[in-house]
Amino acid sequence: MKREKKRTFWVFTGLILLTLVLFTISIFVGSVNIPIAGVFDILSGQEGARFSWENIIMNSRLPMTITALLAGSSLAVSGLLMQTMFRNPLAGPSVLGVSSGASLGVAVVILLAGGFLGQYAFFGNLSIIMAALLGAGGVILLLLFLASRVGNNVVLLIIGLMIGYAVSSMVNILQYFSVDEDLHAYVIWGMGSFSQVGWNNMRLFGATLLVTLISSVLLMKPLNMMLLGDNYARNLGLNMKRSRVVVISLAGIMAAVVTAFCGPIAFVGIAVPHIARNLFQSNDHKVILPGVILSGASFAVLCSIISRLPGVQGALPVNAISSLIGAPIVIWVIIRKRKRNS
Amino acid sequence: MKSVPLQLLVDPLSVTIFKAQHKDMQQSSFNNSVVVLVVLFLFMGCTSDIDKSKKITQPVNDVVKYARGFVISSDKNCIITRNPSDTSQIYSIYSSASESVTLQNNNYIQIPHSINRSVCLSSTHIAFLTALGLKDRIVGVPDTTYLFDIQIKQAIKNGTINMVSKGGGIDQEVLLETNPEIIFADLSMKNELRFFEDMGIPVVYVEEYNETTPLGRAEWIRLFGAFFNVSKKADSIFNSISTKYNAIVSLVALSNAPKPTIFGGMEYQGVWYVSGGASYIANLYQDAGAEYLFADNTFTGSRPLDFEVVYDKAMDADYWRIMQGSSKNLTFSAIEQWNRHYVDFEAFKNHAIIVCNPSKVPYFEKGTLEPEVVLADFVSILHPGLLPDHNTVYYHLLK
Repeated sequence: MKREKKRTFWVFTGLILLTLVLFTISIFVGSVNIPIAGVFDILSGQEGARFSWENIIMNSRLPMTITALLAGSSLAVSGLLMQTMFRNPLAGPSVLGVSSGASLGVAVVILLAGGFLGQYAFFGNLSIIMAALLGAGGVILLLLFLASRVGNNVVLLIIGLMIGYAVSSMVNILQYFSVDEDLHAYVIWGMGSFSQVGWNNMRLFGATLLVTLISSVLLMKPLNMMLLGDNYARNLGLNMKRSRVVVISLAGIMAAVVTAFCGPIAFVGIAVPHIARNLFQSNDHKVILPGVILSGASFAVLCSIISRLPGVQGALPVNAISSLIGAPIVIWVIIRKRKRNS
Repeated sequence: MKSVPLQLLVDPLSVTIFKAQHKDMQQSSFNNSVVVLVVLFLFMGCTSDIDKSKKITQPVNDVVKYARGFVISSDKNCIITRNPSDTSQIYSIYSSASESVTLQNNNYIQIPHSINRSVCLSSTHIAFLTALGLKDRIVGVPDTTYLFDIQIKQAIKNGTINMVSKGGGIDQEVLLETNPEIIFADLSMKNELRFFEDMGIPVVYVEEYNETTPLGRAEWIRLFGAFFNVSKKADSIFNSISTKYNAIVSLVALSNAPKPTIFGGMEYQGVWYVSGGASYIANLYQDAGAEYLFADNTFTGSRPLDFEVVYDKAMDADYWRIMQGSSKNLTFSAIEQWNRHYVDFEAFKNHAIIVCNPSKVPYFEKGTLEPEVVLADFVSILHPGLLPDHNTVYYHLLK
């Protein structure tokens, strides 16, 4: 017990340090080469700094890093919630079709509504975001409805997968009838980006995710009960129906908001909970939920840094980087676990 | 699907403690979550940002004749961009005059009196500014892989101009480094440019590619002229272009030459994207004195048709137009290899294929500003003898 507590302490300390270090790197490093002294000057508010550099640090890198932190932790927590609820290590926000729903909403705005800017007149700046939220929200509502009818978690998972496939094929049809510019815009959106939130949307983005993250933290004990199995949890007095509604809602909202503002970001939801479980050698949500928050934040900021390394002028897509890093990590984690078990 | 049993670390002691205390904790946890969710939705409602655009009356006396996507006020102070397909739908109003905000509207955008630092996100914009002699006002350009302009490429090497996008997405930091006063873009980048609009940098969506007439596309030089206060020069350039263009149109109309039939494009995986009857290319064919085989509709863009439909309808067409960008020159054997049914077309058998290779000629760059040359290319091929001194520039007869 004492050894586990010690391990937990050191891993947390390590993760906090890692997050801080990555945060700092993300501010200092980017596709434009700004000397370290220059960055310090700007951060300390010194006058006379070059305007474009100040703009880059304060209005591009800083909000983008904060976005990455929030998005990473939210997606990771969303994945953890789903993996716990379904007791399936491959569950995640994309598996349940939430990301596909958001993609369909965005596809309708970009590909279907011929006058892309025409929608701007009605919805203002948030047309893409609204559409993504509506699309993801639709899928979430459908899942909630089915969750109240279908008792079996495995069946619910399969239904979620099928919803995802159906929605993706609808997007394919839309793409078939689209012109080049619209396809281009949709593909760029699909590559994922932490840069589109900016200070302007930070209030809405940050507040929503902070609220859902805090709500998830409050659920640590019920989540532990869910891990025991449906019957155990019911015996302990957990209302299974209601708990599924709350968990799906929270996980869905987090995935929907991140996908709406940042585009689809693959692998964070699936990979990071496994990394956290492996680091902490635990399944206790009191430990791994905060652990997943920190790991997810670090993971996302790391992906963001890699995609903006100087010399790679014109950033690499975040979505691809998260998969390229995430996949080997998951494979390594699983192999290590099997070695330890055998 | 068998769920993998996860390693359980809840020891029996904790279970009994759970049992004893669970009811209170569980209830309050869920209550907390529900309250939080409700607060969340309310909060989102308060901060939702739905703009209601007001109907704007457009300024009188606009000087623009062929283009439908923009309007300039007669005093040249106010530029309005709008949807070319539905001109009552206004996108934005740009003006440098600070007092003229009588058009109180969310779409009003203030621009500087004189612009020295502009970012152009399409090579066509570069061509417009080059024609106006304003190349020195460009500080940011898109991916230059397909750019023909040597001066710009040199400037990028020297570091005086930044390449702000590569392979698709816009690099926020590189664009910010150029410190632009205005950004000229096209609609495909609207989502990425929201960030810069929010920062107060004016963004102009130049939609010249959505104009359905060659002169309509070229007339967008007047928009650039108005932004940079060189309207007189823009007007004179465009007037020269339209005079030459219309002269060729008249020449063809008066010659009473027989109209050859024409179609265009190629199939990809069984689908043939065919330009509509009211599209840019259909109008070009008409001006060149050709009969377009798929003109029996009012589509302004292109739509997918089954290969068989085109095969059947265009089998006996006199001419076939192909636009294909490639590093090598197009050959008849290459076309045959793409699809063996291509050899059945009369146009193929008679070697009457008109090709344009945008990788070899700056069709998208300069071609937009030289519609009279593009038209002359077609006329000299379709009606030999009408323009005996013209050497084809953009479109050639495949040999």
